[in-house]
Amino acid sequence: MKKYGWFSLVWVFVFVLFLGVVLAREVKVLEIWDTYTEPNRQPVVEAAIEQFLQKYPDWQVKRTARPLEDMKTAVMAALAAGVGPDVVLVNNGEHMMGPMVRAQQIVNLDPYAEKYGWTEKLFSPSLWNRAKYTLDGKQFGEGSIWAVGLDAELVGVYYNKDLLAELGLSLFGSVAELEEIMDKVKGTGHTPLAVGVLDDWQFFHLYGALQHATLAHEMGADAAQEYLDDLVIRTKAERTWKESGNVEAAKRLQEWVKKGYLVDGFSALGGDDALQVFLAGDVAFFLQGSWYSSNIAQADFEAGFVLFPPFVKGGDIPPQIGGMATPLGISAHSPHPGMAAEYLDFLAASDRTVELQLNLRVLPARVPALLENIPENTLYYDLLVAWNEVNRVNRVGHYLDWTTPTMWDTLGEAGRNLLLLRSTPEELVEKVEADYRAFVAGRSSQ
Amino acid sequence: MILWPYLFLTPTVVSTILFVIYPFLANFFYSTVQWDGFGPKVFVGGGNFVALFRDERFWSALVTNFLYFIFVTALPLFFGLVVASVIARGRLAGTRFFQSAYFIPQVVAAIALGTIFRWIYAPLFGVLHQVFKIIGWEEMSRSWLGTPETATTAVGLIGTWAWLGFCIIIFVAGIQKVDQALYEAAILDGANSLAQFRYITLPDLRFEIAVVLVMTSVQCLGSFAFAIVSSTTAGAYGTRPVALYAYQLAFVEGKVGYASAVVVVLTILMFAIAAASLFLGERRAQE
Repeated sequence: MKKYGWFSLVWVFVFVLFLGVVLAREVKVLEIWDTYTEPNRQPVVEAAIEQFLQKYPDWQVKRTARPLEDMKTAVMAALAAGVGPDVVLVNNGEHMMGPMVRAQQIVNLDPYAEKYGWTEKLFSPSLWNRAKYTLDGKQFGEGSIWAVGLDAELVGVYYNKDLLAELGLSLFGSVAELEEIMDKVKGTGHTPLAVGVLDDWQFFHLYGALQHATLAHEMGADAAQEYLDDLVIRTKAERTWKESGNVEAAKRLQEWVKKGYLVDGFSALGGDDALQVFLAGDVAFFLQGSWYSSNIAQADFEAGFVLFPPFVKGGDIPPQIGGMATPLGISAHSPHPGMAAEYLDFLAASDRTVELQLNLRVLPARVPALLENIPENTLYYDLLVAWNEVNRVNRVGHYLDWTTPTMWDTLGEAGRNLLLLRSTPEELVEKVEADYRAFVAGRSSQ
Repeated sequence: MILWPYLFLTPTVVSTILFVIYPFLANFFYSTVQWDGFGPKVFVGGGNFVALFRDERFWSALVTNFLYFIFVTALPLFFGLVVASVIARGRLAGTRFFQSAYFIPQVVAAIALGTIFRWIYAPLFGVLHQVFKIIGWEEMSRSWLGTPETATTAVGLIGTWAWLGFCIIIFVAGIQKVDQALYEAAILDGANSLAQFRYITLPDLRFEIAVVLVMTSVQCLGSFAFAIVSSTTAGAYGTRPVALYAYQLAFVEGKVGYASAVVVVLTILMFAIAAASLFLGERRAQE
């Protein structure tokens, strides 16, 4: 009995020793927190992780994906406590990036952007501004790169090819022609434009597209781009919303309402409702983002996509609203930022990512997008052509709610009143300007 | 042996401390700082509360909450009493069916309720629009959720519908425990149905009324209104309650400290309403 006792003790000792050796092996883990839960993004992330693990087989990857607001809360709690992932959600602007830069909780990506050639390979310069802040975190749209998104989005005009052909109408080349076509569509008893402003962002896109085109007409396209960069992204004190182009765009939009171009009940429809209305086939146009393209590609009719037109035929392409996918950065608490950057490169810039994105019908971050294997006369082909064109001319316009933290509320309410014809275009601009001035004053007093 | 009850209470006490009391105290601390959620917290004392009382958006949200109080608390309470009296005392056939039918909205998630009603109210393809069309009242059709005049009412009525069943169940249970001899005596004394309701049913339902007041008003100020509004109008057209405003401040505008001040005020309001309701219930009991 005594002999067996000693024997067992030796075995236990050996087992503990073995366990100690195993546990003592350094386990290298790259932790990722992202929001890419969509079916057309999930495979890209999985492929990036696969590439990373192939190159670094002694590493492990631990990924957590959650919806944006949930993830933002988790990031806030984790980074404040000095813990959290290596690769972290860094939503653009004052939503996250600004406060995170000021709190020195994320890593400056400039060295990695240079190492991997991101600024040459991905997006156009006007879009990179969205990922920039000065080192002190006080100025958005300038300075260093802090985050990178894996794909892109673009707002433009979807159109029902079958309906336009049936009515004998061709595609527009200017805002005036667009209005002419909408007039004719209305005259035949069909609906010219599907929009649902119960979701404020639908108004932001509608007004924004018209505003960008009007400003480009009045100032010149490049000057309009500069103005919009200063206004929406950089929030420069010397800029003002009280430009005639902003008022003119609001006026024109009210005209569209008065002429009945917008779908009946637009004020009580959300974005997804408006999509369904468009998919029903009785509507000529749907001014929305590329994120709806997979739904629209399934429509019973043939659909196309074009950029919002210049004000006059033959004019320069005005800035077009667009952006990068909610981007990711690297936590300042990460013990291995270089590995995190390598993962980001696999995710946004690798050949495998581009190949998958083209199969999944999303807009790749790597520009120009290759069209060779994409069938012409398809919605996706149209989208890629439009995306390449916007990047070629370097005119990515902006989501207007980014202007100030309170602009969503201000412009949302002002927009609803405008479209219900309960306020004037001048009043809209006054309200937005007041919000802008309050933000600029608050920032300069800090 | 005397320790056993405390042992059983421990999980609840610990979870209450962890998930209710600590977050409340932490939130109170956050309400005294200026904080964007990432950077350093700057102590501002009562500054956030002072700003709050000058904040038009806060007052607008509070007024909206008051309107929801009418729809989510007052109307279900009133109609709940009426329907429960009919069901419990009317000896109707199929009482259980009516109770179940009225209670169904309670088992549906608020977000789902919001989505269902968004489709019901939708212009062009909404159920309500189609019904008006069928009966020839097409001119009555509106953008219910898309105009300031109707949006708050349209959202509020979802609350009425959702909480009516809860009120009925509670009141029916309350009425059924009333001593039937009281009603029989009242009938012998010549009391009509209204008098029986006024002098027997209503006083005997004081606890149930207090429970309904607490439950519905807390829901009206808290998560229910939040979920219904975010899934119907997202706060457009004056439908945003205080809870949704606090969310906007914290997670969209990056004003975590200020949002915490809003939540502190909201919590105090909830406590005040709950305490007042329970106090009234207790006082009536003592009378």
